[in-house]
Amino acid sequence: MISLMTFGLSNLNLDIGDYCRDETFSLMDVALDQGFSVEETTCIANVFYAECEGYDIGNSYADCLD
Amino acid sequence: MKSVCFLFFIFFASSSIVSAQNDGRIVYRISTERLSIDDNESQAKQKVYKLLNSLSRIRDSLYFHLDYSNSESLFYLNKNKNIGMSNEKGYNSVVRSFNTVYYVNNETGNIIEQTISDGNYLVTSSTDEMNWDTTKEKKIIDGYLCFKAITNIKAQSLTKGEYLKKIEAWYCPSLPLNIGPKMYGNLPGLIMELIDGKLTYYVDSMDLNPKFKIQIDKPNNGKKISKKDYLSRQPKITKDNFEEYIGN
Repeated sequence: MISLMTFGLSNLNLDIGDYCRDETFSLMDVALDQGFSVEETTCIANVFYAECEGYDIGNSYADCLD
Repeated sequence: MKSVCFLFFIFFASSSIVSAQNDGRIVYRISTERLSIDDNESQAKQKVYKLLNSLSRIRDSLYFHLDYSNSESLFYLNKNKNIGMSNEKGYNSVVRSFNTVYYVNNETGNIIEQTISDGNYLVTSSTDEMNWDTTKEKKIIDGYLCFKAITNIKAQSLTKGEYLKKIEAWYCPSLPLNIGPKMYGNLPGLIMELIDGKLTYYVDSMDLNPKFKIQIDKPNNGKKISKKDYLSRQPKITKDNFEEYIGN
């Protein structure tokens, strides 16, 4: 029973991971289309991915921009 | 009959004004396609889209110059002009994304893009590589009759790798300048609007008879590299190497 629950949770994590990865790719396309550099795009993407995965990112976007 | 003659006179007169004066300046600005924010999307996506839309306000406040003299032209960001957004967070980041200076010589066909990424580069290519498909679609822009043309250029993207990017241009034959924003030109009329991804470059003002001297400084600061080689250096993120770039 416990192993089945773990399997279900790990699958849930995989789904969130896939969703967040796909959304991050989509976001990077948008940022690149708007003319942002590779460095800025990957910085913004990193922050987005972290928040998507459930981390508290605070004001981290500000670190990507000046 | 008189009205037809009058129209011909106006057309040739305006063409003569443009062609007799070989120097000039066209000022362009950008309109960024806004991202629609759906309340059903995740908080993370809503937040980042709001951020990108706020940065679009900054981008749309910028001014670009297209200076031309005889067969040469230079397209660059006018860093001296802003409408008071230079203190906004993200201003420098947006401005940096437009640090490329584009030089075109329509006589030799040479294009040089002076750009800064992991160094200073002079990326070379040719106007011969740009093939336009003209269409019958037309519209009036600022009183000028313009037609649509489309080209597909080789581009390199972080997420797509090498791909063909569609560029749309609205050119106006009554302005017989075969130039436009960035390195795009070679059409039988000035490009009044250019759609490049989510960005539309449009003419803000024209000075076809400037009282100031137009100086075209051919870029010479940087390492020379062909467009093909420059594009091949760009990284590509895939599902396999995703974690090397994101989330580590």
